[in-house]
Amino acid sequence: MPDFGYATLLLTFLVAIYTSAAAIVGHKTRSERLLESARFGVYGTFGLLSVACLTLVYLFVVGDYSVKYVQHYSDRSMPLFYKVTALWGGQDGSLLFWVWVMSVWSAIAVYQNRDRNKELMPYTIVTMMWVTLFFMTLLIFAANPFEVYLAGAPTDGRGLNPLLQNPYMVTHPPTLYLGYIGWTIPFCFAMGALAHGKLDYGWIASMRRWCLVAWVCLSVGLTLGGLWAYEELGWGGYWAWDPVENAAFMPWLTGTAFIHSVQVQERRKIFKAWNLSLIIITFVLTLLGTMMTRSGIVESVHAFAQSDIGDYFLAFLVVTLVVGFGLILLRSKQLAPESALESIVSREFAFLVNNWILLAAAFFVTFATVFPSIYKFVNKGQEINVGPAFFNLWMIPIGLVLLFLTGVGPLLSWKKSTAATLRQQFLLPAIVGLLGAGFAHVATGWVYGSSHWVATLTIAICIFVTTSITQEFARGTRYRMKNSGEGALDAFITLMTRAKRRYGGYVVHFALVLMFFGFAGNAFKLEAEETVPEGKSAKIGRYEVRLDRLVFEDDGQKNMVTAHVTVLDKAGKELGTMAPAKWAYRKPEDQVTTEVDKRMTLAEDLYLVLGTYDAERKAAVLQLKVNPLVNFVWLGCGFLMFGFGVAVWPERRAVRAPIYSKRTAQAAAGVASFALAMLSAGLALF
Amino acid sequence: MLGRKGIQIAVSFLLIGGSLTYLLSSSLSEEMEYFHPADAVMVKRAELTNQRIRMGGFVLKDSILQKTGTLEYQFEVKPVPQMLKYPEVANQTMTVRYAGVVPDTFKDDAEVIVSGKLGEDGVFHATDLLAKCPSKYEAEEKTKGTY
Repeated sequence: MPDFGYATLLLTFLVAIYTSAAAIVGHKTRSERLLESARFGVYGTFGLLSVACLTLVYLFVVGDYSVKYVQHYSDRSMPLFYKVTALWGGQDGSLLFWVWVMSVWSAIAVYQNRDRNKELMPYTIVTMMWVTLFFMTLLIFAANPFEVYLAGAPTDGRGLNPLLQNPYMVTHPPTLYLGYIGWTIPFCFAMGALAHGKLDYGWIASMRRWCLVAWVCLSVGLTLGGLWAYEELGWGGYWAWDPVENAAFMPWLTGTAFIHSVQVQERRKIFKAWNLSLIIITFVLTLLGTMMTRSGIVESVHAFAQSDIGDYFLAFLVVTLVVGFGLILLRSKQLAPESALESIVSREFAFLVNNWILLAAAFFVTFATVFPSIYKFVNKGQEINVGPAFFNLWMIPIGLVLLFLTGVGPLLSWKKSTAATLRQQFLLPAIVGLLGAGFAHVATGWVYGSSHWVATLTIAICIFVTTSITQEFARGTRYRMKNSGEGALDAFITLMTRAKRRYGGYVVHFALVLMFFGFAGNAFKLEAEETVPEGKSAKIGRYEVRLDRLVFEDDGQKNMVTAHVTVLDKAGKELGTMAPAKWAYRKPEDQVTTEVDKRMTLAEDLYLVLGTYDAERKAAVLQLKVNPLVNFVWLGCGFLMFGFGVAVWPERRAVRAPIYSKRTAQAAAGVASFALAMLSAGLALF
Repeated sequence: MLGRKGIQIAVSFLLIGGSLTYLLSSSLSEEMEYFHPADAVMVKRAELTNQRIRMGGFVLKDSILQKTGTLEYQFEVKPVPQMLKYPEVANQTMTVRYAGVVPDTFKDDAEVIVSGKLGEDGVFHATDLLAKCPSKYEAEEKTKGTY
């Protein structure tokens, strides 16, 4: 069986070579048959890689421990569910999973465009195949997941890290991968457009919805990663600027910039070279991220082992940059703007500023993440570490400016805003925002006992942006009511369905407001550590936590110590019970996991960790944390998905016969990814 | 040709770029922590005392002590044999004290990175502790071929 899997990989390699050759020759000779053959080549790589993934899954399920990868990441006692997901538990399998997801996306994109974008498709397919070939090279020569033990194969596996045996780890990596790799397809189209020289808005138009799908998957994937860290790691936070998190965040930043700046190209036919550069940078950042997290170059808590795949990645990265930007230079004539920026008080200029800042943020995060590696290289092996404090120092102001811009941008008009429109648009949000600042300062001081100026500022900007969005919705609704005579609710719904992209975008902006509101809560965290004997209690914030019993159990797979506690409020009224625990697994050898328990309310979470215990004296050392507003972050993610759903919902016109199938395919892709995102979020929450 | 506008743009770019670079590097040097392998810390003991550093090594087997009913730990860190630079201290260890919740991966033979200060008492007082499972040494096994 392992040989069969390896043979599939080799065959995929050959098919990818054939497909790129067929696409080039077919394009040069204008042979429809060869081009069709190339399309089927793309479907073929998808089929073959699916077989390879299924083979690996099969090996996991039957427990063939002669395969190193299977032996490293599973064992007999693991539930079937986690045996299947162990596919992406380590380096080799996750690279196979990467290229498989890419083949899924490629097949969908090629199918959607089988009758469209005829000029672009040959080179787009070539680019897709070259990316595939790169990953196949890695899998065949440097990271073969089907490698077997030459002699003395073990009879059982080592087991998957219990931290990864968690529902989030089932939903978080695939969602993140879908988003991450989703950006490869627009990149391939951009390269197709550059190679062919057809550089109008066409390729962007067909990729617009695609980019939104990639973006939302990446956003949801990032949030799920945060949720996993929050629930599983027990340090009470959800984001620590770990290189692995940064790796996914970097392309998110440039991808966000791209989604905004393509609107400027659509409207004003400028920023053409800029958009191409952004998509190339986004793709390069996904490669850099994969390289950082999979090669062990960067020191990280989740990094996999040191390996030699870094060199392959570096080479591919350089080639991508040189070819991409070389083509942009070559095509600079066709990329000349067709109009000019007229005023700095315009929406396009706001988009430009948004782009600069997002790009600066991406540059900063990339720099700070790779800086330790560069420093080590330059200073003969001297290692350094750059902590989260450095990231926060820079990213908090950057994030706040971006949040502020989400409130400003929609209020400006295209081309030029006049003084009168400025007054009309900004008067209300500015006043409410300023009042909000005072209110936030007083309210946080009253609720949390002290106020914090960063939190005050964040909440004030949140209020400003919310007012500006509400004003947009209210004006649109009122306008419709006047023109069509509809009732308020009808008018509101028609408004949303008539300009889905616009109002969907506003909902996404509001989602970010909610998330930032949640981030502001970090300023008011409470934390305490206390040794609590049975019957006694510890106090934190407005809670009193009483240890009722310390219970010792064993279920065969693990030893469990649970602290059963009762939570009371200040008046002594019982609020409920909680049970933080520590589990010691038999396999892998003595692996301990901390089982956090939290009491969730919209206002705050009470977060309990059983730090350690004293069996003789029947005492638990509890770590108590109160995390205000944290649930707004997850709530924001829900709104984000809803806004995305509104934005990509297919137009009603789509049901007309001739374009029916394409539109439905597109819609199906959108709906499917949305459903997947919802499903993963749902799974994550329960 | 650089017109007046061109010069204005160039100057403002230089000013903004320069001040950002300055801010970036100065804030970076404040937040940067040097990492030293345990053997280097033992050799350069005098030079590193009272500095904030990060130290990496393995937890010596059976050396973890915990004050009963508290989160106060003391353990010995030995150099990583594969990365040894100073063979003369290969068999020595460094005492580390840490108070707080330890990560789940912290146990005998785990690879740890501790950040904190090397005190004049010769003990490393850690404020932060990271630990990696001992089972993560994959690349080496790969080159060895069989397990």
